[in-house]
Amino acid sequence: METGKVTLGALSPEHDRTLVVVSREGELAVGLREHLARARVVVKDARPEEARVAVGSCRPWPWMLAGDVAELPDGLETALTRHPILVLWLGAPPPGLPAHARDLSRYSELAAAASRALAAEVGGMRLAMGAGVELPGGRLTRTPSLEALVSAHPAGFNLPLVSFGSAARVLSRSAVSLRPRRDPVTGWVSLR
Amino acid sequence: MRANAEVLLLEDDAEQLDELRLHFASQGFHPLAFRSASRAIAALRSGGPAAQPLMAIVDWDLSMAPDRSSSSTDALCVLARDASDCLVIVYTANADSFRVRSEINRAHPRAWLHDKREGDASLMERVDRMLDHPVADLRVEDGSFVVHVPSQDQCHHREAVRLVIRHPEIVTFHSDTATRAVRRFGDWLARHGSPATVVSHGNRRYRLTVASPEPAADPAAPQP
Repeated sequence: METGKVTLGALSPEHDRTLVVVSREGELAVGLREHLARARVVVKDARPEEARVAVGSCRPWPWMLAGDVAELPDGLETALTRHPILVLWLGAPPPGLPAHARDLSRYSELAAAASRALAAEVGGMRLAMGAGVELPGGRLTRTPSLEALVSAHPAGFNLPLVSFGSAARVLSRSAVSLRPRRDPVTGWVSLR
Repeated sequence: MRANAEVLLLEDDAEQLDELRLHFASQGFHPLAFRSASRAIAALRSGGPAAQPLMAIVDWDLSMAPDRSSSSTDALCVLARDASDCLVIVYTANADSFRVRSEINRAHPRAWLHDKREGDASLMERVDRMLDHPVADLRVEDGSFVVHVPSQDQCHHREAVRLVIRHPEIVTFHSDTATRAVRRFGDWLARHGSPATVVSHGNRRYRLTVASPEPAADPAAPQP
């Protein structure tokens, strides 16, 4: 976790959009870091035993979690059930991942899914460089739950509607007609 | 009068360090050269001119360093945490190894990687390209000031230079003095009618954005 005297950069506090990648060797993180535009997302390369600290260093929470380990590291389940964090998993998903997690069998599929999430555009909204969402007209809002909903669209999150209160407030003050809404069948919350 | 921008150089080979120092001095920079990570870290933590360099060039392999009590990983971690507004380039002869790339990423998630086997000239060209790339009607001169090309007016705030060379990334600044300078730069851009504007992301984080379409590719990215 520390190199002896200093904290690893990947575990230092980060306020920009982050993708935490949990793997044993780091190959998945290296691939994603080189695939994704660095001005749009900071990739934190964490080992399983560092995962809880890496996730906690993202303020207020990571935009996305990716991984390829067979067991979900301790301490992640709580963050994943409290916050709208996109989850992509390479291979069989470990127990404890939320229902909205996506498991993909190939690295290329996972990398493409992460790229699509970064480039998502819905109702005139898109992710801003580095952090936040650009609303129609160019106004910037720093609302992580809205960022998550835009990235996940048209899918959503298996979380309570109350988790998206700040996104609903921002949208109600904008010209966008979409709102976070709970699907009566699946119970998932998405922009509709 | 203006101060030359500081560039932190960490290279264990004395000859190569001299070459880097001469190159940057000839380009108008103030090179701060170190052969060991411990000295570089001490300088970064001193609060002096080396504490907030505009750019850092770090050799990954410091096996010839006179003092090996700290590693390049340590130096990168300190840069990532304490000087996040500094543009960092790490060069290594093992750029093909994903383990090395992973270690570098873990130490400094924003560092740029350069393949040492391409030679010093390639590194210098890379650095010059990163410093020289224009943003809208702005360009950086000598790493020290921003020029509004149509009017040839100059903005001498160091923080303005950071925003231009890091465009389109967000830059985190470390003091109220720096953020005041950023806001003054924003006013300066507006007075000059530049299509570039300063956007605040809160927590002393700012980026430069351009009203016309942003460049499709990052100009600082390695050439194919």
